[in-house]
Amino acid sequence: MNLMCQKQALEQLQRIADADNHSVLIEGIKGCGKTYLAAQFAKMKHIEDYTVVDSTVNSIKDMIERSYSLTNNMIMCVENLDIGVAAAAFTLLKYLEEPKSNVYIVVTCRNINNVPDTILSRSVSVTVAPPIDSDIITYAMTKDMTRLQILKGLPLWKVVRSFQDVDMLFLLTPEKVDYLTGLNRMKLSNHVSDIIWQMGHYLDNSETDLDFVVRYIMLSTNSKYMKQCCIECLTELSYNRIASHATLAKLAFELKYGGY
Amino acid sequence: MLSIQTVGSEILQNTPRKFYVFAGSEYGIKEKYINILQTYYGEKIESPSVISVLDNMATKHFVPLTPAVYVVRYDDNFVAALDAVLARRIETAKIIGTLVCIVEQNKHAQKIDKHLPNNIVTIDEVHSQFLTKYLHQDFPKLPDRFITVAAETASNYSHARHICYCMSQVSVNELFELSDASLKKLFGVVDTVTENDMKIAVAARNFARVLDVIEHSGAEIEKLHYTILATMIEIDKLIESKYAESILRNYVKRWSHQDTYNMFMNTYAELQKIRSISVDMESSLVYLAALLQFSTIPAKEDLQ
Repeated sequence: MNLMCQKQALEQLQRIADADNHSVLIEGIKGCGKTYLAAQFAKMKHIEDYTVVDSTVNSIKDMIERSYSLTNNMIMCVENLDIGVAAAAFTLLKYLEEPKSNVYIVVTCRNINNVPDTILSRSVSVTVAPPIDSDIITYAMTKDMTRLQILKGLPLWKVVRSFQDVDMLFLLTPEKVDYLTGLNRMKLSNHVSDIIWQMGHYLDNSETDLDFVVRYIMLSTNSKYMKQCCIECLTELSYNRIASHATLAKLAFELKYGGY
Repeated sequence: MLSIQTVGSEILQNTPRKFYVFAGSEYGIKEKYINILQTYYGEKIESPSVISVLDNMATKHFVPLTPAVYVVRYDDNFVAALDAVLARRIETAKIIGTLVCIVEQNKHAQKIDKHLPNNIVTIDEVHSQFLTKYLHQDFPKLPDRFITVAAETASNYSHARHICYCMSQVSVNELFELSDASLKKLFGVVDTVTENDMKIAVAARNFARVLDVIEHSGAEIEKLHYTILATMIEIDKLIESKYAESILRNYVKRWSHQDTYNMFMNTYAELQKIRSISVDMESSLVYLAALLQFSTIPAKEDLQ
């Protein structure tokens, strides 16, 4: 795939691979292809042993333990370190202080400001630009052309901003697509718990992508106040400081009562 | 081995056996049965060993012995010496009254059960239902609420009796001024508040009760902001759904939509502060509790 947003990042990664740096940090918005780039880095280094781990203390500890038992070259990708707890970052830092020569660490993050300086100073950073519309179409075309034509005709398509959004939409059943589309007609006279439930769950009780739902509501409304509430909600969700259900409840209160 | 029900009914119906071994950890029930036996016989005699009681029974007395309950506590020599011969001697002994031997360790109980299966009973933890029943019998003047507190606080019957005894020494009016959580804390239980306690205290807009919950919340304090948020969502639902059942139903009349909205927003703002700057969790909760005192809860903007 020839994606404009990733072109510069790929060139940077190639230089890093040539220089044999062992710790790389990839920064970019949600769904811009950071983990995909980490896998590309593994290909550049011709390393087949490539593992992706969550940014939890236990996952990182398990990964480190595993690395001590191996002698072959390997690449470990720690996803979204800025979203995990601080203890996870410090667990990784201990390893970065005394890295093994056969192990390459790729860390991804959405907000570089939330990554400890001590990790930044030990890593080479690569910034991935947000995908532009042509990148998203190019990516979606690789999946299913017929489905793409249907999805492009829906109001939901206007919300798609990342490759992750594309993946999510292509995985949805037609019923779930209808449900999401209908959220812009949600009754705000219902009680708050109903509004929260509608935004957070499909009819089969599986969870929605909150970030996507809030962006869709924001694009669907003409009210400046509601748009502002949605932006605040999205910001809070990206910070990940407060439980997402509480943030969603705040938005539901604001949508219903419109501010007293 | 005898069941506790068999032994209990024998003692309560005044048809006790000549010899019992009370094993197990529930000392309070053992003492209760001994007291019933004492009431039945009129006399309780503490003896140093089982052998000394058997020897006494085998000796001819100028004045005949009167029936009594003989109590022997923790006689390790008896347990060590117990064999088929001694067991036969106990079975054939003419005990005037009842001899009760108290042992505690399980390994002793196993050995005694081998030789005297028709005399030993293990008395361990009592079901809470029976515990409450016994406490009612022992302290008939103590109100139900305090019996329940004692039963929930104590680790066993004996402990519960001590707690009831302490409470019975204080006037009931003074006791009623204390919350359940305060009473439990007084008797050594630290974390007793539940999420529902906080929900009810907030819904009731009762400043003192909220403070009480905060004080006794322990490690749960971190969840209390979220509990307030959940309470507001629940009250919002109850205001509109007249038939929805909830423990907060009785307090809904104290809330308007505006109140729930403002309280939710104020709590959320406090939560944001806690997560971004160093704010004392307890002070933040006390501030929110103070807001409940207003007839109309002030909006976040008015407080800035």
